[in-house]
Amino acid sequence: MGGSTKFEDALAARLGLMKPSRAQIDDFISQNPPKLSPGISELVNELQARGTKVFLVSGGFRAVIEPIADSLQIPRSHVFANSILFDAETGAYSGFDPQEHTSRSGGKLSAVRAIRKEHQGAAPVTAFPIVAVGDGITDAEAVSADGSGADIFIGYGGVVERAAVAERADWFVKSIQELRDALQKGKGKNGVAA
Amino acid sequence: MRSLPRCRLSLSPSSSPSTRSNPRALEQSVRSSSRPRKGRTTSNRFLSSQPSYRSAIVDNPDNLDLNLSSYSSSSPPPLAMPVKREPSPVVLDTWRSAKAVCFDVDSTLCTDESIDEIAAFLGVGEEVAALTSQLSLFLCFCVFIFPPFLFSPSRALALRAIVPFFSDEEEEHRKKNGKKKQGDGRLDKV
Repeated sequence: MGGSTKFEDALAARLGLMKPSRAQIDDFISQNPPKLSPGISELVNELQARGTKVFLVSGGFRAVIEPIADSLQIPRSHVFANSILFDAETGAYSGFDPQEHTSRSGGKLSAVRAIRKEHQGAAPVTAFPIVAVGDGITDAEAVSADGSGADIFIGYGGVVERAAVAERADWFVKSIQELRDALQKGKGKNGVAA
Repeated sequence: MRSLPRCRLSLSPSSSPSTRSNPRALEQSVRSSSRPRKGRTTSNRFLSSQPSYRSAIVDNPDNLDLNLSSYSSSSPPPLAMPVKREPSPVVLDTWRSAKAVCFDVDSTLCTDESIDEIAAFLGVGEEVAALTSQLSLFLCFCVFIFPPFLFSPSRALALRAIVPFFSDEEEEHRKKNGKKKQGDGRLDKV
């Protein structure tokens, strides 16, 4: 669907069909522990040990993603995702927060811009490289022509391989291990990871 | 022209929008490929009077990102872009020096799509999936089926079914044969 279908409409339509209550979401989370891609927790640890900040930018829901962030020691302030709203008394579904970056088309770019604004400080853009990693076209869209978004997009085909995404990626990997290897090896300036 | 396939391979990564927009890549590409013209350090991106891309490739045969500024209007980008399974030096350097990495969650950080999982959990998995495929079908119709259909011979027939009085042919027919009957105010049944 790319950016042509209004993301907020698609989100509203799907949530309107599901109408999840707070209790149902809680049940779902307790019965469905996160299935992390192999090597992700190691990669997140390695990045954070190097001083690289790790963010989760998703069109999914905070209720599901925040516990995953906790388990990976990623601060909740580094999570950009959608908030399902529930009735304060009954816990019934009452919509989603339209203020969240990722509730709108182009939301990933908007989230990356917010990250840049908050974390880059006075440093010049070139001194604050941001990398977007994902499997979808919306992830590739986090890179912007004016340099305000991510610097590069790394396509991940370890779960789903999309030709349009692979073609657009600055680098297309099929396993998280490739990303880990590239951090460890090829320390020479022009070295390419084996 | 012997080197054409090589040119394609060497040039295409530079045509990726992100590399084009990446100031770091740009800086490096400018630095490397404009070595003989020391005065130029910025905005070489828009120079089309650079040495031909062939000579740039000869200068930097291994470096995929260094040919950016020699991309002239006389050498259009290839139609299909090869998938970059290895990082270019600039991409590798960006990955290794990143201050922030933003991960997508569904089908990247995790192996599932949580919205589908929640829908299935709530017993509306098929409905949500149908919504998604309806949207895809509609897009497919708009792009692939409808435009060719407009030029097909069955167009008039189908359009008559959708918009009954659309056909000029029928209108002519009506004027010609219906004239006699117009006077008596009855409905014209063809």
